[in-house]
Amino acid sequence: MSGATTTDDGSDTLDTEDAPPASLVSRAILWLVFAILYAYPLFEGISNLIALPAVYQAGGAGGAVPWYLLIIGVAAPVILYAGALLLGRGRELFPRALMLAAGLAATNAMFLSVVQWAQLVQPALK
Amino acid sequence: MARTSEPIDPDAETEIDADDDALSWAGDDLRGGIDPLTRNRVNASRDGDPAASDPDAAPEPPRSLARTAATVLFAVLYLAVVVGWILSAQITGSPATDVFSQVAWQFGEFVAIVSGALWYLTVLTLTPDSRTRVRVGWFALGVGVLVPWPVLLAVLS
Repeated sequence: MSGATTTDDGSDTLDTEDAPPASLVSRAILWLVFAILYAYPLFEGISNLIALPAVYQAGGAGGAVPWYLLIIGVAAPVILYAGALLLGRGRELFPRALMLAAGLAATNAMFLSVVQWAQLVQPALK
Repeated sequence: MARTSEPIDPDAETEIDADDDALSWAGDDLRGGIDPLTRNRVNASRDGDPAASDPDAAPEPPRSLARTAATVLFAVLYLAVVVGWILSAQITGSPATDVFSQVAWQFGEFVAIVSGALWYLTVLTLTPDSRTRVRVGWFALGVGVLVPWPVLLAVLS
């Protein structure tokens, strides 16, 4: 990653910040592939946000809805995807892909954590 | 070979020590009087230090005992995170019964297992020149985000 690289005009660049960023096409493909992969945890989060309060209402525990868990479930995929995109600006393709992959893994880990917490705090439903 | 072009002076030749003659080459004086063996050794040691031999090289990354200690400490912590998620994947299970949901859940469990390793490698490779505080901050954030709650909650409750 570090070390001198030579650009077309023969000048030396010192680090990845100065290296030419990934081309638009490869960036777009990367965004799209990871958008699809992030979409499923986001879909799960949204569907929980919509369905769980209704289930709790029907079970007579409308006041015990774990809103913070539902919000984390929706916010985590969005924040981690956007964060990985922002941190990847101006970098080469590999660091971008690495950050998006780490964010995707973290999204899924958080989703499983949220589900487990929700089961723990769930009150007895009628 | 250069010696053949020099005028041979029998008197001068006898003054030079035989060992010196065998171990030096004509023109050594022009290269700073360093004999080939020593010169190679010097070059080898210079190659070992990129900052000294290459003025265009990236600046030396900050190295300190604290930085190394933090990197090793977090390596152990992240290893624990990976183990935790391997155990968590045994506990969690998809409530859905259709094939797509099952496959997606399995995929989620798999990437959760590798999440610790991915986060650690990402921080390790992308903060080589960053300040120690920045690197430790990203490591700490990852540990906070990737706590393997399923297995922790199962153990604690």
